[in-house]
Amino acid sequence: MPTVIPIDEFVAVEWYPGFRSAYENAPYIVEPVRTFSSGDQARFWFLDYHWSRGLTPLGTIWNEDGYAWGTQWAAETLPLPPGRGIVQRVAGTHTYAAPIEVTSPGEIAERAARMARRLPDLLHDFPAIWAEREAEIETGWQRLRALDLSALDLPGLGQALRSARRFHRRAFEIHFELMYPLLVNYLGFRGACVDMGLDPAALGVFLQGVDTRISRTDRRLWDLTGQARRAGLGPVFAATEAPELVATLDGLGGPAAAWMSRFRDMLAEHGWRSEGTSDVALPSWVEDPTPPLGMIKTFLTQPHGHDGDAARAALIAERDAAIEDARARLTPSRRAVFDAGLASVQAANFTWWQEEHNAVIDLRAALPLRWVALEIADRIGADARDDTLFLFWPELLELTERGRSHDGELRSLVRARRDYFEHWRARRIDMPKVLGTVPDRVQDPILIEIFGLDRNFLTAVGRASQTPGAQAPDDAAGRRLVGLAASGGRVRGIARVLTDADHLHRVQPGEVLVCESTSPNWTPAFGTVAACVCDGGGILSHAAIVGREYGIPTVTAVGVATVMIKDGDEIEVDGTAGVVTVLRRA
Amino acid sequence: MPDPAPAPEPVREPVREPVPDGEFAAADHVVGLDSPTACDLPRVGAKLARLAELAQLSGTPGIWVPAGFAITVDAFARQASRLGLAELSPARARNRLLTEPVERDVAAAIGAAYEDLCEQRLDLGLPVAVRSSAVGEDGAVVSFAGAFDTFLGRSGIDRVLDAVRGCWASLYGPRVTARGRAPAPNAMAVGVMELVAARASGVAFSVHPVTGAPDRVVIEANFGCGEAVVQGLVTPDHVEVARDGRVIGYQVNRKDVISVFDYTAGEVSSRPMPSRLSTRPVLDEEEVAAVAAAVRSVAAHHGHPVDVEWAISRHRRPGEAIAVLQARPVTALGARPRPSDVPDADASGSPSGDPPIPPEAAELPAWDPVAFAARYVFGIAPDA
Repeated sequence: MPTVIPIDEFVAVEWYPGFRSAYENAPYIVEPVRTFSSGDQARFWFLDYHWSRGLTPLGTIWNEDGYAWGTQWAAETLPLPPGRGIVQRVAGTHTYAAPIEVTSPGEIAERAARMARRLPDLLHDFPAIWAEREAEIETGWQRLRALDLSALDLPGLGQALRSARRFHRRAFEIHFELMYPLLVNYLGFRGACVDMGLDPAALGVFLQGVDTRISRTDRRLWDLTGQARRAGLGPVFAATEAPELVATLDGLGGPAAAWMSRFRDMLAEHGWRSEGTSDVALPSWVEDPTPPLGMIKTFLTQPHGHDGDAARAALIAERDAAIEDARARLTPSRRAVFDAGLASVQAANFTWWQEEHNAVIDLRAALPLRWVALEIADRIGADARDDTLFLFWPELLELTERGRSHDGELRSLVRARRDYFEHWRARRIDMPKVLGTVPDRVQDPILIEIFGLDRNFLTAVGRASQTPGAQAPDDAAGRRLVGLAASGGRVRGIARVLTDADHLHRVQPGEVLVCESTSPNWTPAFGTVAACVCDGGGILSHAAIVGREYGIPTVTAVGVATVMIKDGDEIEVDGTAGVVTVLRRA
Repeated sequence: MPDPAPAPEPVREPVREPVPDGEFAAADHVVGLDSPTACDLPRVGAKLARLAELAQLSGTPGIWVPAGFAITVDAFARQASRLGLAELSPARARNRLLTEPVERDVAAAIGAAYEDLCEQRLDLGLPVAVRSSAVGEDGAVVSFAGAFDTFLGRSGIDRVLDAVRGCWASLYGPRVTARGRAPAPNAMAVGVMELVAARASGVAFSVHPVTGAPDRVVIEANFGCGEAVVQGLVTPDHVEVARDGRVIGYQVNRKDVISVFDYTAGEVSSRPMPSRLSTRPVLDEEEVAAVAAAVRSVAAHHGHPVDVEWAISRHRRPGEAIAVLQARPVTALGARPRPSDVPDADASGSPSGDPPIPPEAAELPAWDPVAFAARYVFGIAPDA
């Protein structure tokens, strides 16, 4: 019997004040993004964890152009045999997603035949294809960054806005164009490893230790930490809250000024990224350097630095040993299959790309859109620069075309939408993790491996939704949580439950990070936390990959960790068994 | 970029025993595709044998197989023994094949055959397509589509000979070694065929549904030569045709790249499609019907589902034949290999000194991302 979690509550919800259905006119490939309607109850929807704050009206461009268009375009182009991409429904400011499945066996066979024609060359030429796509994105990025927005009139800003949106959409076409083949290849090889009697968990080890842009940024932050310590700035960092650090350090002069100059060099190179995936509401580090300064503040509380080069050398040694060990277990013929498959998954390295692409795509694709929107706000004399982020795309375009000033009507509309956003942000913690008809299992390997929608997750969220009382603190089920063993090791610590990255710098060394999921901007925290526990995320999710890279016990796909574990609880994380136990309540 | 893993050493299969000079007659090196002996699979490889079989169909309405000849595995064996390939690593073997001239007798035989072809078409320096045809390719369990090289639009004997050496060398190329090993790479034949001056071209296949007989034809089409479609450089128009000839769907895609024959360079090159053409449909109704009929005829002749590469000549008028350039069985996804198809099954005499292969080796086919994805990711069961 499938569990059904009613969607009525969200069908009835009015969307953003002043929203008109005429705004739902974005082009789509297979299925468009919509609000919930009653027919959606028959399908399975999961709460997406990338935007735990919620999306502003302009931010919903992500759903239309990235999440829906990008996945559907890529799944149709490859094509992916069993799925036509992912479609979304909005509940308040939050996003639920569902796979679009292909059910006809004949159609699946046709798609499989078409994929068979394209996949080998896509994989074989992956390094060249990625280099080409990366260059394409870089060219567009440089062009948009070089725009002098202050020199444009309002119609010119409208053109820039359209151009920024095309850049964003194209970046996510590329994102999913490459993600699907890489994942398919990885999973094919994993299946072969299992058939050959190898431990599938070792596959992550085979692919580890390759440098990414993200890890290079981390090393720069650790370098700056050492320089701050040597310059005697430790006490300043300790005594100053992260948001005040820029003003304080700039005001000190001397060694602090010299250090800030080096910090700004780092920003110029690594600071063109926001604190989350593709969200116009999030500034880049260049606009607001609080996040990297907060991380350095946290790093300074660690007595020892993090030797990134040594850590990487150790990962490489472990990788090479694991590969030799696996090869030694195989007969010569199987070794030939293994070697060929390994060469293929290493050349098209999914675990590497899964980190690397974030610096190229996810963390910056929405920034040009954001900058144009902020400039428009300045031009029309808005009360706050981010007022324009609370307008829907057609509304914002109309502003650039009609040159409307910031009148009372617009002011009250933005105020009402800000209230709406905050209302739903507060509700986030109580949002059901899944909605509609929960299946016993999900077929789509992408949802399993990336989003962690495995059988345990579905059971956990299904049970929690049926018996809200299970959240009583000392219920046995509430003390022992089972998830996916993403990174091995066992450790105890105080839980720090975070709803989003805003308070990441408050996590103290030795504490256990508990959250819905992590994204690349959380990576440096893995240098200080003792362990990590996530509601979502499969074996290929960010937390799982980074947990292994940093050697931090990590359990993902717990389903209800942020609900069952309270901030300050003492917990034990067993990343080898995939079990989290609450030892003592705060 | 990730550290590229070193390409695995392919297992070197024994090249035929060296044969003393003078033992071959020209007829052993080259055979016309319209000759019944060209269907001899061990001598010309699966791809050319099937083309030769197709050539026997030339009388069939609606199909035109361009004229051509096969350079047999004997010619390759002769070149291989002269260069001492059996003693060389794959990289060195490849290098030697690319840099050393074609052996005198073989080159003479190819030259004579090319001249005959030019004479037959009354065209000096006739542009031709030069295609690899490895023995064991295509007919094997897994699809090695694209693993071996094809050279389109080579004109003049020197360029033809260069292309032949390129085809031979692709037997030792990274595209093959990266996928494990060639299905049975003990020999390579090469086909030389008149290049069709294509207005449009593409691929077409009679689908083999899980349940049984094919019930529709799928056509993918682009303007110009087929290279851009085959290489996946372009999203071609996608057409589905029902059994009764009804067009179920014609999806016009944006075709950004076109492959054209460059007469000055003497080769086919890809270039951007003019924007006014990129969103125009490639085929009209009559052409769709003609391509569908052609692929059905080929499938009927072979008795199993096929995919074909086809082309429509610039000079074709409605009602005239469709050029069929290549045909192969549709690779069944997840199909389980018969033990006899598995390269491992016969490892005796392997020069690399590997110990004998244990019998359980037959359980796993050689690495192939498509077959493995079907089996392990999409759960498309073997033998389904």
